[in-house]
Amino acid sequence: MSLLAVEQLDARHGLLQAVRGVTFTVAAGETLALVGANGAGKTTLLRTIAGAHRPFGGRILFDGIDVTAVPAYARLRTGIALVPEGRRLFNGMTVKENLLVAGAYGNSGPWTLDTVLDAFPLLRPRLNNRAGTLSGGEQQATAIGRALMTNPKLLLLDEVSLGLAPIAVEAVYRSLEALIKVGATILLVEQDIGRALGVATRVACMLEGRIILAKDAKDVTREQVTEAYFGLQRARRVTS
Amino acid sequence: MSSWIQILLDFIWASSGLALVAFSLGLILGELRIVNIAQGDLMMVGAYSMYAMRGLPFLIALPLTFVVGLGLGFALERGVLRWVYDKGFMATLLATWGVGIVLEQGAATVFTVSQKGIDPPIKGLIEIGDVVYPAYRAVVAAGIIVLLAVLLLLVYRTSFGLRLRASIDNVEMAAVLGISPQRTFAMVFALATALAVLAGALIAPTIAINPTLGLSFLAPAFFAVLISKPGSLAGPVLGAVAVEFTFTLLQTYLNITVAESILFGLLALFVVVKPQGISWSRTTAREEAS
Ligand SMILES: Nc1ncnc2c1ncn2[C@@H]1O[C@H](COP(=O)(O)OP(=O)(O)OP(=O)(O)O)[C@@H](O)[C@H]1O
Ligand SMILES: [Mg+2]
Repeated sequence: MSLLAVEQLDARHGLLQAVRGVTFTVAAGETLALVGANGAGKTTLLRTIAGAHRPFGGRILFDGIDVTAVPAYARLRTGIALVPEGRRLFNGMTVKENLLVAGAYGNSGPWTLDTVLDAFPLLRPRLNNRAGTLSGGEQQATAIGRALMTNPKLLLLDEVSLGLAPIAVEAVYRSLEALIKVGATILLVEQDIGRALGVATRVACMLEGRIILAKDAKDVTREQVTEAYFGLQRARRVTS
Repeated sequence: MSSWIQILLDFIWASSGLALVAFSLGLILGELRIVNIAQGDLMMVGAYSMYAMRGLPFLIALPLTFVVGLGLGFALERGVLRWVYDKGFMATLLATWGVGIVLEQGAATVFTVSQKGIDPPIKGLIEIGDVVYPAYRAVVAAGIIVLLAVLLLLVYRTSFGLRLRASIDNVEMAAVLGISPQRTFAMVFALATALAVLAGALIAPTIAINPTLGLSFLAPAFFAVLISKPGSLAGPVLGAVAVEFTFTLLQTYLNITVAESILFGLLALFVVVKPQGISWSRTTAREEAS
């Protein structure tokens, strides 16, 4: 049985329909990469799954339970954690406080302050620095660590490499690969198709609020994804 | 020399009370993103509560009044404020203004508009050099300073405070981390209301109690919050000390009316120069709390 099942999900911003009838599943242990152009609705989809955005229609099943109506603060305990676009750290608080506050209401499990710091050793010397003073890479590590502190069953990652130096992106992805190796279930939004295909077991491509391509990562070429990414398939159909 | 000690004692007395009100106002602005126009009227409620319970020992009436404040705050948040969170800054301003008017009219109806007074529970005087000063004020000022220290420790050194600060920083992200906005808003407003009510209760024996007594506290408390860093809770306390220091200084050299005019002129100037100080409103995650 799949860990996450999204059925016919609609999400709106006012009149604008950002997510249109999206259906997909994520199985335990799987890494699904979600790609798509700017404004495709990826962030809205992730936020809706995390409970930060109220859906307009459709259902979200998690671990066999319908969580569609469960508010964000209660959804955390079912095992969903979001690393939001732009990180959204509590900038006035220290790295340690950012991590501890996430542990307060999370589930218990393997992730504690110590194990998170083992996974992100670069944070150790920064523990008592304010999150706002960190480098982009350190902030992203804190944001991922903060989500891990809740011991999630599903980790939602929204553009973790956005605005990072290449070397920091490298470090973040090395940590992600380590997580995937120990069996984490991840839904990852990534602009860089090469990177997405590198870590994912499956790839889904979003265009204008819809999922237009979903395949096993090994069955798909970079070109196919790129085409879907820019909506070329549809464009070609129209012109030919 | 003696006049300086007198001025210093008055300054400590005035800034302690103002700091407590400013802290409660800053708490509400930080968490709920609301400027509570009724904060002064909540002090008035505290003063009348003590008047109504004047037959009881002071140290029994005081905690009872605090509990009244908690209940009133909870009722106001659940009954009034939560309906206007997502209606914009102006709507919240009008709602709290309305609450203030209702409280004032209520007090006038129940207690009439004639001035009331209660006796301080401590009537002695303390002598410092050749200055004699009411012992009640000295004790209350010291008590408020201790209370504020405890509150700031709570905010900056406990896991409760950690969750509160996270919620003040970003209510939506805090919600994703399990911190219920609804519960936090209700709790914060109840606590802040109780603190303002407590401030009014403590000041009650030193003033003439009337339905509009809170008005004179609102502007300086607002000023104290405005000059502090948004979201900071130590800020309003320091802001209150700064405002009271300025006022004491002005008052030492000018008559009180001129001093007040200048102070409020400065406030108006500050609002004009730094309007984002009050309008940093919250646009997302408001539905969650209603
Ligand atoms: N808070 C909001 N209010 C109104 N419209 C919004 C809001 N957030 C997103 N939108 C709109 O919803 C659509 C989907 O946006 P979303 O951020 O989900 O896309 P995205 O795929 O994450 O894009 P990006 O790659 O730029 O992050 C866009 O048209 C966007 O303009
Ligand atoms: Mg996005």
